[in-house]
Amino acid sequence: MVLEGNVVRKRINIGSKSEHNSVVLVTTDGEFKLRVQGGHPFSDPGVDKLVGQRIRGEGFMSAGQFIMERYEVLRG
Amino acid sequence: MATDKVIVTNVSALRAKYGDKFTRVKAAIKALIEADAGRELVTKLVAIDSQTDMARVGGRAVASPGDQEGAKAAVDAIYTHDRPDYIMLLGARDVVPHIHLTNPMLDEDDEEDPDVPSDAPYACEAAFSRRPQDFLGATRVVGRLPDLTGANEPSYLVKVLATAAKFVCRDPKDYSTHFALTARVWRRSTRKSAIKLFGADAEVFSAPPHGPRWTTEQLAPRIHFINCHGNTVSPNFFGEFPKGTFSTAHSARLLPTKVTKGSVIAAECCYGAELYAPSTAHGQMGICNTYLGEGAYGFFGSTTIAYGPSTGQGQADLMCQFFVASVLDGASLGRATLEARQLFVSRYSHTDPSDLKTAVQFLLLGDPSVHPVKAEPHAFSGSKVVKRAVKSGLLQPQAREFRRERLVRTGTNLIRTVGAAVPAKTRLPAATRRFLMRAVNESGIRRPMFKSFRVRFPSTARMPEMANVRTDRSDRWIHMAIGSRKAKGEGSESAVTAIIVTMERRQIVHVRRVHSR
Repeated sequence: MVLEGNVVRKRINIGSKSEHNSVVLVTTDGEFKLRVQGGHPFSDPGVDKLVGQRIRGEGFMSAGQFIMERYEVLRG
Repeated sequence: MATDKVIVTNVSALRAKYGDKFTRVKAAIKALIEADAGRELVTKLVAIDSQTDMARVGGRAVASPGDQEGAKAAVDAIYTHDRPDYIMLLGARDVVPHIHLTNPMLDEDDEEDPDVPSDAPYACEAAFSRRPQDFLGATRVVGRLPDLTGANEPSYLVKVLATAAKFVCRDPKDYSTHFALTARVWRRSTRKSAIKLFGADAEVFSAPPHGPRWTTEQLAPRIHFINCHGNTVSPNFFGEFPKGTFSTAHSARLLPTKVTKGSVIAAECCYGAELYAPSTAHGQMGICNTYLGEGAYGFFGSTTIAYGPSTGQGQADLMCQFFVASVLDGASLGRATLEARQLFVSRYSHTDPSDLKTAVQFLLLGDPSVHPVKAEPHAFSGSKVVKRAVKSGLLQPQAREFRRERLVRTGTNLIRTVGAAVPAKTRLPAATRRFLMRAVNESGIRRPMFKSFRVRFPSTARMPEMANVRTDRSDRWIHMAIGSRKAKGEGSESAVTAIIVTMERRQIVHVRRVHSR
């Protein structure tokens, strides 16, 4: 699947054992925790650097998270 | 002849995955059935996709491997017809599906799990539904021996079937040591669990600094108790310290050759028992699959995000403790799972949303009939007169039947009596809102969100004796304020706190403050 949106940082899973700050992709269809396949699920510098950018990612959903196999940063 | 154990699977799904090599799976299933017979266990295979098999038990074949309603109805039909002591679901979620239940914690802003994949419904008499509160009264001994989701080569499945066939019931001393691992931020809570299970001298490894390169000696104990972070589609568990800094604590990639045969694992970690397809993680299977593939007998874990208090004990801590305690006491893995579910639910008058999710998210991966630890028999059972009576047929021990009777009674009582908090749209009473806001301010909670729940009890909970109880269950509400909290001496990101208020007849009757892990 392909999703396009803005990448922001926010706190998720509040109150759970795995509550943490996370990078989230905000799309017109909703907000999804963003990961890169094979990356660290809690703190991935490869995902952190996308905060503030608009991206188009290709990947799959798992438990409400969007795990990208590839992506491109959209300019403008 | 009575059937003691039923292996429930979808043969056409297995054939579709493994093609011609399904014959190897078939042979491994046959070997397990024969091995069970050697242990005086009558086991049979029922294909829930087979019209013939399902007609024989008065049920209907499933429409597809993903047919959750059909799979639940099929297991119900099998149980009603055969009344087996053990139900073993064979295959991962693409063979026999989990039942996806509504997530009682779901909030658009702060919870990822859109639903809760669960095997608890298979353990319950209640008919198919998506409501977790329908499955608080488990009565059946159920476990799942998984293959690899999305696999096309059956070696893994053949291996775990062989492990089940060759299992050895060992002396308690073979399970007298443990490997306990915790995210360092939760070390106090984990230490309490370890002391309860393993005694005052229990060793607990904290991550960081420890992990993930464990030595064979460190992993050698057959009981593993793990309280770390986990995530979906992740082959690692994670430690945390300082708060917000995560390090790899345990890695599936580093486990092979280091797991002692017959190990039993209880993992509190989020997604610890998630059966994700290895292809979605660059070919690396999850920790749960890896343990089983390396000869572990069972893995008890959660399919989704799990919960626990900051200090003290609750939710995931309790489920895992109850499971391990029961295994060490000589229960089968399946019975230990059922007893953990029942004990957990029985602690509450009503389950709040996080308790409710906990009750249905934990499941057993492994053959439920495996007894890792020998139960200590009563001295009289070893006496000459009793042995002679057994040999002659005068005495036919029915210990397992009595245990099942007790478990059915307990589960039935629970579903008839325990209430559950279900999300409700209601106007927060002004006084309660003021109290919550004051508590929020006092606790330093930032950006609080408010949620309300109505506590619903089953109609069967209205027993005459309950008239003597001073609580009013007909008008019980839960209101919650939840947000992040900045604590002294910590970084900008710190604990999250929830203030939970229980109300009866518009009166606040119970309050608690719960800190996230």
